[in-house]
Amino acid sequence: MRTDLKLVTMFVVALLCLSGCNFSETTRVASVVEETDILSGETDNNVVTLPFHTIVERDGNKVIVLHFSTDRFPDVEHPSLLISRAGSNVQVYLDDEWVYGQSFSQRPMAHTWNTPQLVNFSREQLDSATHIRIKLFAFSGDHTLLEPMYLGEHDRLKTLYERFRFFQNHLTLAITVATLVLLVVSLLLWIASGRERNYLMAMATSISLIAACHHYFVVNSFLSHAMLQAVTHISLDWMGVFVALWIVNIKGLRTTYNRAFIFWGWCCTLVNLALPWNWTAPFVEWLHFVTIGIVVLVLLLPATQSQASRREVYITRITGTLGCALCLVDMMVQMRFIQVPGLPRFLPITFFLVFLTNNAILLQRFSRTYRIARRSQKELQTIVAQRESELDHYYAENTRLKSQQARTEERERIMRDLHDGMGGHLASALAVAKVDEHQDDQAQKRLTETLQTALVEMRMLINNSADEFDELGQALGSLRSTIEPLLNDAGLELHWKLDPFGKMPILTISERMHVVRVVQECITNVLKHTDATIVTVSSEQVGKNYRVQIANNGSTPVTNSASLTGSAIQDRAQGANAQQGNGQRNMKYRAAQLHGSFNLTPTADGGALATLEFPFDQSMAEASA
Amino acid sequence: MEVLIVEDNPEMRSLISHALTGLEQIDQVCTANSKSEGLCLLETRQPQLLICDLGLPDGTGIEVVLKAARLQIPSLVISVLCDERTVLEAVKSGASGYLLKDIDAQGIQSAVEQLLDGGAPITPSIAGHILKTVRDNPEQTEQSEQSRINLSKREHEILLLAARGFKVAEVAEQLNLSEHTVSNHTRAVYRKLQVNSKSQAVYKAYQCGLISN
Repeated sequence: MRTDLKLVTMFVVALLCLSGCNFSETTRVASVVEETDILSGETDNNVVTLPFHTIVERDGNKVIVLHFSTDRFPDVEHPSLLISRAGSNVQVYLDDEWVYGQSFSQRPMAHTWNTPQLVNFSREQLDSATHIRIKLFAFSGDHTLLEPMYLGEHDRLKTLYERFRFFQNHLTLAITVATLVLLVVSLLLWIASGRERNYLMAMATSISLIAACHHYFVVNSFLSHAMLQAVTHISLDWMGVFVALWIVNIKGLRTTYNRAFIFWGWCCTLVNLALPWNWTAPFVEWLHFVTIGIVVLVLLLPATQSQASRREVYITRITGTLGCALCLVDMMVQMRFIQVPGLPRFLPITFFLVFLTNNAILLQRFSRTYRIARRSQKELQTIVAQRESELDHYYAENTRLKSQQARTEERERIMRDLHDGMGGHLASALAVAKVDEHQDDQAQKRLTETLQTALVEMRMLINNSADEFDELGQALGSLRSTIEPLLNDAGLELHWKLDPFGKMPILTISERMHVVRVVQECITNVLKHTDATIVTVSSEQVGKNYRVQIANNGSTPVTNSASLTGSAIQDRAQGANAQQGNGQRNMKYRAAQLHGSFNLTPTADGGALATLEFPFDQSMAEASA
Repeated sequence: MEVLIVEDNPEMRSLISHALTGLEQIDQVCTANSKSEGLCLLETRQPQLLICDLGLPDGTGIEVVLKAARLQIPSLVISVLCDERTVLEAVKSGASGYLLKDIDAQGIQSAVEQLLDGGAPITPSIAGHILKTVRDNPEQTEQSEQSRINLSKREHEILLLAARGFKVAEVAEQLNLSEHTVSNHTRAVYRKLQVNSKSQAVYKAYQCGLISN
């Protein structure tokens, strides 16, 4: 809907341009005549220069009549008048006798427009007249048309005239060549890339080329002034459309705005081509400015409104409406539908208003966006830093877990191999040995013991290797379930007095194995070297240490007892004393590995008390609980 | 009462059979040396007790234990070792006890008698593994909610003491309970593990699309 309104506005303006300009400027300017006496000019070497631009002040389209006394004309044989740039129709009279030029009731002819013109008089004509009267049709605001005139000898002025023509011809030629080169480059670009922007550039430069060619031909008196002006403004309009499209950088020609711009360009083209003969130069010039104004209005408002807040939309709508209204007023004033003294131009005010508003909005939006971007950047940096920190932490944790997992998998593999391979064979051999125990063969018993010991060892190894960290109580519990049947067979009663509910140390595999080995070794020693009937295992926390004690009630060393380990059999062969010495050294070594101590002391009832004490990390135990 | 022994090792089979013949409650012992044979005998003989090895030549004994649980037949698993994976798998499948292969005839008789009296033999290894399972179980995801094992405080205490090597009688003494009560709690733990295992299986079956609404 918004787009439709803009298009309608644009077409209404175009329609008004077309319908409101059907008037004859010639009839209007006929009543506005200003006559000026040229009293003197600068004389140099029999040539008088008349600086008209310094004495003519115009407002609107007028006919200016310049009077120059023939008495002041230089005394030359072949008098001539050189008009350096005749920007309008020129008529030259000697007193009331017409000498040169055409009627102002027609459009300016090509050979009288914007080109140097040389008017020759005869000496007799000049001597018989009192004044030279030069009538100029001056367009509103076209000050550049009033160039100096020269009075003097024909040959000298002819030289000056040729110089002017030469300059104009070469300038026109240079413009033509440059435009031609630009056209060729644009066409090549368009063909190479197929982009619409190049198409527009090619179209704009084509029109410019035509304008330049026309200009060249006009200078050489081939075409009319009106056609030249129309084509020039067509070119300018297309250039305006092209610049507008280039500014917004619209990607294709399929959008509504692109189509609207191109449509407007063609409208201006048709207007200029269809009505050059009845329309005046000021209107065409004005149409050109309106074209650019409308293009800018249509262009900037939607560009500003896109992604705008509600407040900004209202501001741009009001500004746009005001701008369009000012355009219309300007048009009405310029076409004299509204009589305003001095013919003020409202279009620049419109431009200023629109640009100021839009730029203020864009500046505000940029400022807001910049603040948001800065804030977002800071937040993003904080989040990124936080995420990086977390990532580092997770990476370290992941590495640790992977390492732990690898170790666990390897342990599980070893355990499975032990379980499926050696464990099965040991169990089978043990079953065979137990079945044949009735033979009462000593060797058979030793075989049974050995197999039993091997199985116990393997089971302890596997049970205690399952977890990297585990509670000591469970390791000792597994030890009890493993060795108690053997103790019972040997007639030794095991009293189990671990701390039932208290915290127990969380130990690594090797630490657990050290404690379990010490307890196992102590019980083995009781079994082998004493006549004890009761062995008591207890544990408790003592300050910052943990204490495990193994006590027995025996006193008499024995030499024939069951053994719990394979090493015990070897020790027995080496003698009881040597075995006890090695065993204690081993237990002290294990205690040292735990950063603790091992002591063996006698008890009041004749038995012995082995005490293993090592540091207890309570925090680790609480964390695992 | 009839007992089915599923064991591929003939020596072990012979040792277990020999131990069971000393029990008054046992009238008949039938044996199988493979999983398929064990499954077949479970169907046809409907024994009152199953003693099953886990490592069988044609598969794992867990399947036999599962089928026994479905048939409401109590079962004892016998294995060389008692590592966590094996023990928990057996218990979750429905095993009511766990025997080690170096156990003697008296030990076998004791465990069977305890089981037939309605008790639930538990070893420190089993108790320790269950405690670890409860402790390590995450409680964040939906699946973990399904598989979470909610043990009572008393059950937890019994498991802790059992894991530290205390026998049933000693546990009862520590907690001022009767041995029967301790056995009941132990059975409840087993039951929770089995129920949990079933719900987890159903949950996974739903997720895999094996069971539809």
